Amino acid sequence: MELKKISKKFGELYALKDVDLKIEDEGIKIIIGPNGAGKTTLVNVISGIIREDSGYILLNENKINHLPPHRRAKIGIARTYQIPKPFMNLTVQENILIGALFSGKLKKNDAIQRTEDVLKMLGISNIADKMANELTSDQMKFVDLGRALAGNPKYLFIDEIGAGLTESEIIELSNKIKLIEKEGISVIYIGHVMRLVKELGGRVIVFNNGSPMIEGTYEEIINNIDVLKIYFGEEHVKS
Amino acid sequence: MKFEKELKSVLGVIVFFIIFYFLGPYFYSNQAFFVTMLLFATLTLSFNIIYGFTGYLPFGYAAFFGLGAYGFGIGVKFGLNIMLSFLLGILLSVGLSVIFLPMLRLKGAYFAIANLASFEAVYYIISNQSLTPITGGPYGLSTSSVFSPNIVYLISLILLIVIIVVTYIIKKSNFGLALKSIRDDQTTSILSGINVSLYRGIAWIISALFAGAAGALYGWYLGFFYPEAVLSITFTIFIITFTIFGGSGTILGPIIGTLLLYGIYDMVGVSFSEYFTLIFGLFILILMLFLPNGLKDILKKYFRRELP
Repeated sequence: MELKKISKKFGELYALKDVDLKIEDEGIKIIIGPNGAGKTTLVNVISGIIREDSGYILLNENKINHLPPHRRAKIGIARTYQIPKPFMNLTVQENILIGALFSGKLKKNDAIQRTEDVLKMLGISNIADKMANELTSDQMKFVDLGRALAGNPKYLFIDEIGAGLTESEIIELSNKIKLIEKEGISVIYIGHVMRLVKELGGRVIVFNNGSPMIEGTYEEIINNIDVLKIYFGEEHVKS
Repeated sequence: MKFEKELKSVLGVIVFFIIFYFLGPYFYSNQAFFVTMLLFATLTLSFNIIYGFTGYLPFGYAAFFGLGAYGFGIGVKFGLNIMLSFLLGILLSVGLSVIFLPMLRLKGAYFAIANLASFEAVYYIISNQSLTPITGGPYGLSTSSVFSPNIVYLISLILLIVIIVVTYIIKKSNFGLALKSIRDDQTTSILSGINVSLYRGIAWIISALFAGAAGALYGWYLGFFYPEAVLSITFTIFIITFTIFGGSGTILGPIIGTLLLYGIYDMVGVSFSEYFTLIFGLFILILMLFLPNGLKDILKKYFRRELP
């Protein structure tokens, strides 16, 4: 997938400015950046929830700008939400089944099988029959992830899933994300939790003021002077 | 296992209505009560398709019912045969639902109010004096030339059985699951690959189709009606109450709601006609305060069972 010169303005403010970005078909990619850097807007534009003002998105050399979000889901672009919004009055199993049926276009029996696999993979089989409104917010995040994953997407954008987790939970989460990547899904993690970024170990892109500023490995990024400056402010960073 | 159980209760309720159809009039010699009961059950179930599954609350739902009656009446007036008049009723109702489709872009209370306003518009258009040559205006329409209460009674039963089966099929299908997901969260539905506007539009049109058919039968049965008799907000309030009392989104809920509440309504109306709105109103108030989700919740809370 490739983004060419994507811009999006909210009023006079650029949320995204001339973003050129290439996302590989496999592996784990990480997008970090301070609040307001445009990370979530980027995911909204790619998933079609928000329309860009200019620029275009290429998928296998085809422009997909005109596609409505439900069509993008069907051609393999999946995402989760920072604040998960599962179907509250459906069970966990039904939540994930919906992803398999509609994004994944699977036949009923295959979809049920896929749902079972996803539940197992994410380690949430034990809550399969619970209603989503009975879950904790952490469990909801996994249900949302499961729904996105069940459609067997090519690209899975995970919008901040690591907030408020303990050390061991982060390692567990990182292992699950790596497992997803091994299925041949290109995973893009968008977030703040540096501990998780380190654990995942993919290429990191730092966003600032609506465009990608620098790309590198975890070590390169945390030692980069410009990155330190945008996080801590110019005056606190000695060159 | 669960599948079996639900199918059994659907078959059970169909058998119940067939017995009801034959034996009812022996115990209570008021055929109008039974016809209205069957039509109300149909209307409640068709309302349930849009409200129970997708969560849209159309406060002007009676417009579909009323236009069904008017379509039939206009057909009869202009000399169409019964079959074509009946189809005209359905056609008008479905046509109206297509015109109203963009309204589904509104959410929650906005949709409910917009729908109520559009109902008023339909009412004033139909009852407009200048349209007297077509709709009869404020003076109403007569269908007495084709009056045949026994046939209407039978077709009402058949229509009810059809919508029970349709509701069952929707509930079991992927389509039904998609509708329920739309009820819970439209954005997540879209992101799951569901064409929300298409699915809810189909549900809306199916719902209007059955409401129109029920209205056409009602217009046929009445023999004569004026605008208030078929285009009344009371119908909407009744079916909303019946649906919520029984449990929305289920098959049996709306049916039980209609049987019990319309039964009570009729009983109170006959014995204490001067108090019936008061008593019925109090009853609805108590219901909404203590049982906002209806019998469905009682079953779930105290018996840990799902209402089919």
